[in-house]
Amino acid sequence: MALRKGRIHEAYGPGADMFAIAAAAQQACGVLWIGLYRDIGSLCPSGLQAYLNIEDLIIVEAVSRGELLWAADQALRADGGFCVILDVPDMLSLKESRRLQLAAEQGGGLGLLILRGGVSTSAAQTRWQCQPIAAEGPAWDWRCEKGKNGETGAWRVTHQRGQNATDTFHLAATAPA
Amino acid sequence: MPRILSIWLPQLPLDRLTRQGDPRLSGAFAVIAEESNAWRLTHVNDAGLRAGVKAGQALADARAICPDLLTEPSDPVREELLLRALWRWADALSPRVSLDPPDGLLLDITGCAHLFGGEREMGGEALARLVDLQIQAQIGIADTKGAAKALARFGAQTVSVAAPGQNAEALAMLPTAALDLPETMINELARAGLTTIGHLYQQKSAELARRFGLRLTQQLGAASGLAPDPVTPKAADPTYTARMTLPEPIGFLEDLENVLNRLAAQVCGRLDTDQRGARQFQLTVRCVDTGDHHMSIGFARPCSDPEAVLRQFSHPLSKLEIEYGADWFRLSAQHIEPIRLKQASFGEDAKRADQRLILIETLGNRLGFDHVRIFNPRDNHVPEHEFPHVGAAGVTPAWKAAPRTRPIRLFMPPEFVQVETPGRPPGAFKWRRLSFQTARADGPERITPRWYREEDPRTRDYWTVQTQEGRRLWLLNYPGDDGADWYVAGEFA
Repeated sequence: MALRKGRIHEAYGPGADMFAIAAAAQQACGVLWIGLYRDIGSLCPSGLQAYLNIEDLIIVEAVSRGELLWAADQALRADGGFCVILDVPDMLSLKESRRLQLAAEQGGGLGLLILRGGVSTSAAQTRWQCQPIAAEGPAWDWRCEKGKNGETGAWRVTHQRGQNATDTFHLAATAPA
Repeated sequence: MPRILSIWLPQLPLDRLTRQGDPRLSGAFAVIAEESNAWRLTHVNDAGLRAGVKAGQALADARAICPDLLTEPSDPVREELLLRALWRWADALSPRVSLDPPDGLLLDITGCAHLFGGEREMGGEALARLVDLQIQAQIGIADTKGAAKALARFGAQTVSVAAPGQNAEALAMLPTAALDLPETMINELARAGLTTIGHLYQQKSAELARRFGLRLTQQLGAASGLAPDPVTPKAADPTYTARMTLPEPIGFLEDLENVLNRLAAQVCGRLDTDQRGARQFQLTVRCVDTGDHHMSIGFARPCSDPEAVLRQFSHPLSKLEIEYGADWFRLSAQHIEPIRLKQASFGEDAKRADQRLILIETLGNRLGFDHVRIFNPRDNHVPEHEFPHVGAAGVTPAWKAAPRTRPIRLFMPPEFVQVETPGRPPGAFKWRRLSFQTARADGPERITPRWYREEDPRTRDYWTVQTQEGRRLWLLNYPGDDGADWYVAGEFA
């Protein structure tokens, strides 16, 4: 799985956190997690350490929606191609998501939007519906329901901890596009 | 012959509180400090002395003598700040002033005294000015530092003067404690019957050195002017500030940036030559109609780059509302730190670290540096105390992997669930208006809170629950209660 850099990607559903973490884990770069207090304050690094390098992680707490979007815009626009995870508390308008998309194109980083307030028309490259499922180990169903280049599909993902140096995600196509 | 003036500030901590207008000082009051595991009084005000309390007493004894005694722990940092302020103030008396911590100043007044009409008048003038500042002082004037200090602390009057060349005579009547010797040595001298400095003059210095050590004869020599002991004035820390006044007010953003550009070039140039950088810059813009506007920006590391200053100020400047223009500007650098020169970034790592810091600065200047954070590890078994947040600016991240498996989201406080099928853990429950059925559960992990802290003292049981709906939750139960209430404490990936 490779999400295109210089683009923003959306994820929603109960497993969206994990989708963002898995995508960020594959980028060898600094990760910024931007959100309002209620989303940022509950992050627990002793749980995230299994997937992410905590030393690369910067958390940014915004106090208003305006600051949140400004911070995401600056982080995506910054030189160095950061991976930016943005906890969006409500619906983004097309204009706002277009701005973020342009910022990501300029900075060359990866924007991951966790949509908590519903889905709307947006300028994102892909949109994923993410659902954790009850299986033997931790497993998720990721369904790509929008892809600008037409690459939709669904995958079942499992995570195997500590089998080799970097934890690996296993993909199994459940319903190829 | 140099002339030295020593100012002793015996009640500096109390004076600091008096200057703040502390109402407690009207009654018996003392400043206390912890000394080998016991709180002792270090400074007592007049009302306290009248009530029978003395400096040096243990706090418990003092409370027994005077139950109304109010106290405050001493604050060495603020006291030093006050002393440093007085050190700058003393420039009015003499150009050569040095600090004599913790409670004194030393002034080289050679050739200054006639400006005040004589040495005694100068001392009186200094005292009067200090009284205006609500600070109590005693002054000693002599040929040497040691003698001036001794006279200030042990002299009979508030201004004690030893005439030029009369050092030895002036000191003769003072106790040996005036010589700035360790207390054990003063006790030893007293045991030998030597209580005043005059007694020491009658002894051979070789005998004194043999019995009490060289320190005593050195101090004695310095006090009586046989050994050199000059006042070494220290210059105040340099300030990095630039100001610009314009004949006509300006108001366009472009012009403001131009002004800032020149100020920044000046300030940063000076910082650069001293190989220093500032962590904070403050810009004051004085508008002709609305007065001063203060803006400040911060940096994640010491900075002396005018471009960066301009870049960070561009946002607050664009927010500034100017109607009739501004004609006075001042840029000052604060939190000055030395810059370690390093090789211009070769390689990816250094470049990436630079980019990270620039981003932290940009975000921090608008959101506040306390809102841009990283996680720090901490040895603690209570899940919510495992990871303090610290500001990302100026901190190198170092994470130590926590030993236990924890959820990726931790809800604080835990969220109540409605149990539908009771059990340990419940077979079915409702959380956030969604119904869940337990498919698998793992636990309990029992955690006892820290009894030595004031926090929820209940023992906790945590269960990792895989629901049939897919979500993996961390359920919490307090077994010490009746165990019927369940909470969601976190969510796993």
